Amino acid sequence: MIEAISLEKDYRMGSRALHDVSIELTKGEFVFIVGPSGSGKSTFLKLITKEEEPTGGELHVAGKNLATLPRWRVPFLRRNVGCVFQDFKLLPNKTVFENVAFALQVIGKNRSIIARQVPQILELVGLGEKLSRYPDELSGGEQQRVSIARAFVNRPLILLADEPTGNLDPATSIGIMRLLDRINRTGTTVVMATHDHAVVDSMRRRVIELEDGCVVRDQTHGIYGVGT
Amino acid sequence: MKIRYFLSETVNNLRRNALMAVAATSTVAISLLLLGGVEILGMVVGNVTNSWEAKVEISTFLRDDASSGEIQALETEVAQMPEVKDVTYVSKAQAYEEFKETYADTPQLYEALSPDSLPASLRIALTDAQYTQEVAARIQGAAGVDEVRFGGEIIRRLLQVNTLLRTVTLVLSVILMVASAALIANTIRLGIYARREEIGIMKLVGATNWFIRIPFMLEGLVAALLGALLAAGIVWFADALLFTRLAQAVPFLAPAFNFSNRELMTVVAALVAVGTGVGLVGSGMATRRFLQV
Repeated sequence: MIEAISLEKDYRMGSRALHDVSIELTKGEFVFIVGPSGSGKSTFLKLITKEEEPTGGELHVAGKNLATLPRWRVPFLRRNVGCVFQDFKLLPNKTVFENVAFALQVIGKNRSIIARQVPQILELVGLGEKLSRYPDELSGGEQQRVSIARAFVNRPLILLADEPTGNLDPATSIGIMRLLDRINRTGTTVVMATHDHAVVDSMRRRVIELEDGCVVRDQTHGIYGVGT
Repeated sequence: MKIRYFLSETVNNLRRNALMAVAATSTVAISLLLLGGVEILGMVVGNVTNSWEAKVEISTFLRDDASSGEIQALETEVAQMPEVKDVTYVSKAQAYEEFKETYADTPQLYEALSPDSLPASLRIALTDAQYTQEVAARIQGAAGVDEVRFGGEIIRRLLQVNTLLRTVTLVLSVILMVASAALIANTIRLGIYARREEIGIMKLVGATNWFIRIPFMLEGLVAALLGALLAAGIVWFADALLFTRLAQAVPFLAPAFNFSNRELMTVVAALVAVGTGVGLVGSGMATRRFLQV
């Protein structure tokens, strides 16, 4: 599903974000990318959505070589890659329903599909009763659920989550992880960048650790840190 | 669905930046009005010169001692020139008769003249007024010719003034058009800035570049089109209210201010077309530079 071969990313001014990263993620996998801030986790996710271009190596996502993917195809790549962020990125002047519907609307889905899929997905994330609330009327955990619903409503093959529990308390985080786990069980590949020890340790999934842009550990049923 | 989305987005954007949109629209209108003015001025001058050009002829006055053979030869030669439409011989007697007719109100003018005091002449009508000087120069030295006169000078001056006016107005109009494109671009930039969060999410979930761009392009286009319609409306009203009345009040100006509906439609269509162009350029600049999709 995602294959990185000797991936390199240097930002201007010579700072190195990723070095010789070779990872293969198969369909339906649940993978944690861990490591301290600045270790290259977010950069890796941005390369997958082609928000950033690698400076070396190869990256294949959902069967496409990103280096040869023309610019106009990038939106179609992104329809297969859902994204969730630490800060939710919800539109404050739209309701829960409208926020999720917006994601379908702007890729040209028609009204009847939106009317069917949006309530369905909001039911799945546990917000079936709060369709007409505005983001600022929701708790942090609920807002993150809306953002997950928005990322998943189009049933992407891959879901990228960049520190999705970073702003949430441990109890709320567990709920979010359950939701991501459920999405993973539908066959969606989930890649989650985090430095939340408790979350990683409780899930016992594959863990890839980055340090200074290099892969220093790739463990099938890992915990956050060996010996920490 | 899509069309409804684009239209409602466009209207919302325009409403959000109403003030900027009004500025952009009115600049478009003013620049197009100048352009329309240039066109109408061109039409007025065209009408005037056309009606005068029809009357332009070269009068070749003949010497009293010219032999009838010389006159015959000259007449044949002139008639063969390709620029010449028609040659008429006017005898001394005919010239006197015409003079009498022209000044029928003031008999003292022709009573003082003897019937043979006016020279005989050849009246030469041309296919086009622009050959006047050329033909006149050719005839000037011929045998039996005393003096060559023509009325083309006024027309030439008029055309010169017209060219100058047109150039100045066109330059002004182009400057204003650049300004209106910039104002449109700026209006759109404000819209893009106000909606940067939404645009970010659109990119994130895979909206195509054109999907993101179209509402902003439409916004620029609508602003420009409103300006163009305003200008076209003013031109139309000016014709209906001003020119038509002017022509009625001052009859000798009537031919100059009389435009066919087709001429007027051409001007209006040109204004709308140029306005659309300005709108497209402005929105193209803005979406390319500020949307970064």
